[in-house]
Amino acid sequence: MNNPPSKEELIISIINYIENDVISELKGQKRFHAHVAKNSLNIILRQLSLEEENNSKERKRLAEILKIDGDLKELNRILCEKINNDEINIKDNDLIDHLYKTTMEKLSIDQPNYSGYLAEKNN
Amino acid sequence: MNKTEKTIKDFLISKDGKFNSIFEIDKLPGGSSNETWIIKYNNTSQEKKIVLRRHFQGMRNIDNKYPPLSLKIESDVMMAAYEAKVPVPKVLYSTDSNSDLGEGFFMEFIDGVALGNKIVDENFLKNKDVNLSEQCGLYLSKIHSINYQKLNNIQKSEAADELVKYKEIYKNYNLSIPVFDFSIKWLEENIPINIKPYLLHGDFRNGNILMSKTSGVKSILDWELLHLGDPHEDLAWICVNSWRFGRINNPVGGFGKRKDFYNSYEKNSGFKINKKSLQFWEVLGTLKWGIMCLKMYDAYKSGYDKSVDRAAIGRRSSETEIDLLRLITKEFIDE
Repeated sequence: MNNPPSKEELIISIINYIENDVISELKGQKRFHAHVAKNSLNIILRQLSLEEENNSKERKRLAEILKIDGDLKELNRILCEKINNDEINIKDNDLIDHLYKTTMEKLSIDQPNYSGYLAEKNN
Repeated sequence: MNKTEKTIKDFLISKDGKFNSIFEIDKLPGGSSNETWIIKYNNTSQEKKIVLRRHFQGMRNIDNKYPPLSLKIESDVMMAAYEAKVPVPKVLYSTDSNSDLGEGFFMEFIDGVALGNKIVDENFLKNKDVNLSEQCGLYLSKIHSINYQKLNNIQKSEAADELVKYKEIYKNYNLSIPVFDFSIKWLEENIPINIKPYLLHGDFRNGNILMSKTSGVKSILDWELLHLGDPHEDLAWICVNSWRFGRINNPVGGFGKRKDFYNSYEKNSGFKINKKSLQFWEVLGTLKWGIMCLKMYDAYKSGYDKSVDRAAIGRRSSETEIDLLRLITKEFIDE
């Protein structure tokens, strides 16, 4: 086990550094890239706290829809294949429900301020 | 002044002596297939600018199947648009592929704001009589009315062609993104009937339209995706949520309402807009942007562009997933 700080604390310290000390010193494309770097660190931070639970919920739903077990990547590959082969109808409510839930879980990590995510969440 | 800058200056001086006063030449950052240069000079003691667009000269990430549009065609169409009273920069001089500058053209510089997030600000317009959506409807109808019969080599790309093109790009990445497969299936089941092709801008959206605070639309830029096809493609693209810059309740580019845009287009063109076709093209437009995000990330992955934003943009593809689901499964038209 490593001594402190935790990985989250380290990331937060870099985010604060970029926000407080770096961005104000830069202009143009470099400033834009510093903003992007900060956003990427925020994505990692959210992923560290949410990924495990999101993935386990996604895997559970996929196993129910596909009636097989497997790792997440493989189950998603099979779902895509079944959509392409018409083995699962795109009007199927369980499929649509799963796609909504998975997408919202992905966005809770990638872009929780996205207008489409917020509109759906407040729906 | 480096070699390229010297070549630019010499070319312009050969056209007009006023360019002896050139004092600054800058290449703008970005651009994947074309370079954009801003050239500053003095004329009658005023600072003036002129713009050069030419094919990218360095290492290129060429898509052989879908090569970038020839700048000769781009400038021909811009000249035709200028004649048709579309607000567009005037093309001044052309250079061909055998010249030292390579294929490209010089055009007038037009001042204005193209940054989408500034334009969607409710305080952007100082003149409340200006309706940006109505202007967009009017100018899009003018673009679509251009007689392309006299222009050569413009490719036609209709609904099925566009869908196949982006499906292929997605499949090549060998990723399993179920919402994309779901959307592709829906699109394949809902392809509209081909209608008489029109000349399309191909990238008519907030970000490519130069605006002024007092008079609204000043100039329509970035013609490199122009082609012949279904006018609903252009009508839908500007309403894709990715170009609303957070203002989801203003479907037209984040700044306007659908009815102003569609009514203005229909009134000026005489064309009857089909709601089912709009939905198809808005779904396809949203999917295209999602796949383009993956394509830009691929430029990072392949080592072509190692910048921090090329890496991060891959994660923006999931934004389009929620838009796709909502467009396909809910009541389509918002206000």
